[in-house]
Amino acid sequence: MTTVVAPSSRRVPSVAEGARRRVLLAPITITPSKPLAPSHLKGLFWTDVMYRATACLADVDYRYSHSTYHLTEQTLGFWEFLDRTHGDTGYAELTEDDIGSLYVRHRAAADRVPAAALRPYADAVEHHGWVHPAATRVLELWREQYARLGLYDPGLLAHQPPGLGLEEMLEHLRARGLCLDHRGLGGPVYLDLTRHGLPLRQIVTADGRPNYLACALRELLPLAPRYGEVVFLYDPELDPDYQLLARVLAPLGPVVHRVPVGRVPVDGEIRSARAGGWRGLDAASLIEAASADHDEAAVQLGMRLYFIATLGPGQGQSHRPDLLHQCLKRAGRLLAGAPATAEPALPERLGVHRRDHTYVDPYRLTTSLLARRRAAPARDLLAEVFLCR
Amino acid sequence: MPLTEERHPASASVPLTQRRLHAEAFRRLRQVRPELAAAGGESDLAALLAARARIAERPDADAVQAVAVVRHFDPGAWVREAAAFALDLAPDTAAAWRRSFTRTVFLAGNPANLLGRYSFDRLAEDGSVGWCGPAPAESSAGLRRLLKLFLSTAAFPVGPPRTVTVPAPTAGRGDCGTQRQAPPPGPGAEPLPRGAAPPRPAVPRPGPPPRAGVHRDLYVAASGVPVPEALVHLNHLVVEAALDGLITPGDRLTLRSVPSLTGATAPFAALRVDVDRTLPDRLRAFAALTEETPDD
Repeated sequence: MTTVVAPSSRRVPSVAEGARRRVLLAPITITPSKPLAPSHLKGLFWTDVMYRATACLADVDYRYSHSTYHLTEQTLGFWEFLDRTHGDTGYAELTEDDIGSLYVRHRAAADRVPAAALRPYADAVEHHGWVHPAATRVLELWREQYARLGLYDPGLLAHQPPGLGLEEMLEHLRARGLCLDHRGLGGPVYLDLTRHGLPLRQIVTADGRPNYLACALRELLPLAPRYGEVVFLYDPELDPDYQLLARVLAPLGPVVHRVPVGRVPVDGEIRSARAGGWRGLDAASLIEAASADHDEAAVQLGMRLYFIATLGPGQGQSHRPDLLHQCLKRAGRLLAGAPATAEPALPERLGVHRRDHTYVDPYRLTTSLLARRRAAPARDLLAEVFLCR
Repeated sequence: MPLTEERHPASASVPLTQRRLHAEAFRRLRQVRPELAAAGGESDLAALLAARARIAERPDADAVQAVAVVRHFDPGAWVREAAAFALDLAPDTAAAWRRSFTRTVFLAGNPANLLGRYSFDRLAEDGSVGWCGPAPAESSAGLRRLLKLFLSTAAFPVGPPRTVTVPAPTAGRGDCGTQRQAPPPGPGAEPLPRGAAPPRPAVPRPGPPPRAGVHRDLYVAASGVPVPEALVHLNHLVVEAALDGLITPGDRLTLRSVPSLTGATAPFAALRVDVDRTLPDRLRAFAALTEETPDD
């Protein structure tokens, strides 16, 4: 975990101080175009435990706005592809596997359409909060899975537009000397942190398409000053971009922490959803398999033990159904043996799983449940943080 | 590889035929790398392209390149800055650059944001462009990693004529492009590219006595030529004309962007010639500097 601090001093907050601190969790969003795969679930569980545990100690917001990121070409290009190749279709009847298969076909087609073809979609998102029915269908299915897994829903289907328009965001950057805008020359727009030794990064193409970094800036620039701490959770390969984001946001006030969460290889290989290959490993399949032998609480706790404690922050461990099964059984035993409460009070028990930050480290907290020499975790902790009520 | 021809009395008022362009291209090749120009004969375009391939395969061991960091691009200002940059170079640096076909890398960047880590041999007063080098490529590797190649899909603008005056050099030849400035301590500091010249007062240049400023027209072909490509052509033409004494301080240059130079019969003192992108078996004149002409 890496931290960018504003000029203010860096120290460990006490529990009491932490309770007054405002924390923003800003995990990277998952494009709603396919089933949730193990890598996605891992990020969601990490964020969920961090959110629920930190909420016992501080005022924490979990920002997860699909409205913000629908504007990326990855999403708009898929929607345009669907309408161009499938026309009016009853997406409400399709499964996420069906829609994911269409997404794989879209990516394989690799037909780059002109910016003008995507503009109606971008305008509809901006002006009407419009969402393509294929994405709505996937988000509805995800919401059902969130409920079964006990994941907090940060507003999957809510319209949560970013606080700044594209030009407002660029104007903010320009005023701080962080924008190199070559659109007048027929070129792209760059985020320019070369002053800090970080490489120039394109955020808007020459034909006006913003990437996810531009979308993130629209959302986070107005939010960041309201928080004492901002925490990013993201795939490790995106670390250079999150370094840039942290550099842009830190002078606005918050301490910015970067928490890369490694992906989950399958048979030693980190796969992209754009290539498919999720069958049997998608959230619905994993929930169904786990629920065959375990009750809901054990599934919710066991999944967290597996995706957080067993797989850990890195991405060296491939998905292991046998280890997941062990975690589900272990969860059942933990739940059966859990005392009602424990000493000290829950905030103090959670507070030890922090270092120089307010947020609770989900890895430290979850691995502590498995420590053999420690007292069995109490039901208040399991209920509050791991949602095993 | 650039293919600019320079002054050649016989070229005056000769139409820009393929034969003429071919002759101009080979003349320049002979001037810069005679051993390669002669190797494959000078019979046709294929021989010229073969010579270019040989140059790419066997670059000069002492190859150098300049780096231009572009924040804004204004064609007239570019002409002025490029000429001033070339006129400020030490003779040995200029000769090495000439032998490297005045290779220049154009990077998108804001020089003002780089001044804490890098310094420039020339920095435009408005901060629109900063120049480094010429120097071996490795000396600017850090800068090139930090920045991106200058990109644009727009066609070179055809605007009204614009006349600029080439400024006086900022220092005597021989001491430019050799100073270095230590980067500030701290993470991420990169080695400097060669050359770091703080602002210096204008001083008389050694060498031939200065002549009175003259006026020339500078034509750029714009049709189908994106800004970065036109920039390459314009830059080669201007800096080589400056290195060859065709452009000197006090000269007035009127930049005239036109769709193409087809049919031009003005007496040209220098031509920039390269393969025509849309007709790859033909050459095209991309930029041209006229002989002295009266001011409008």
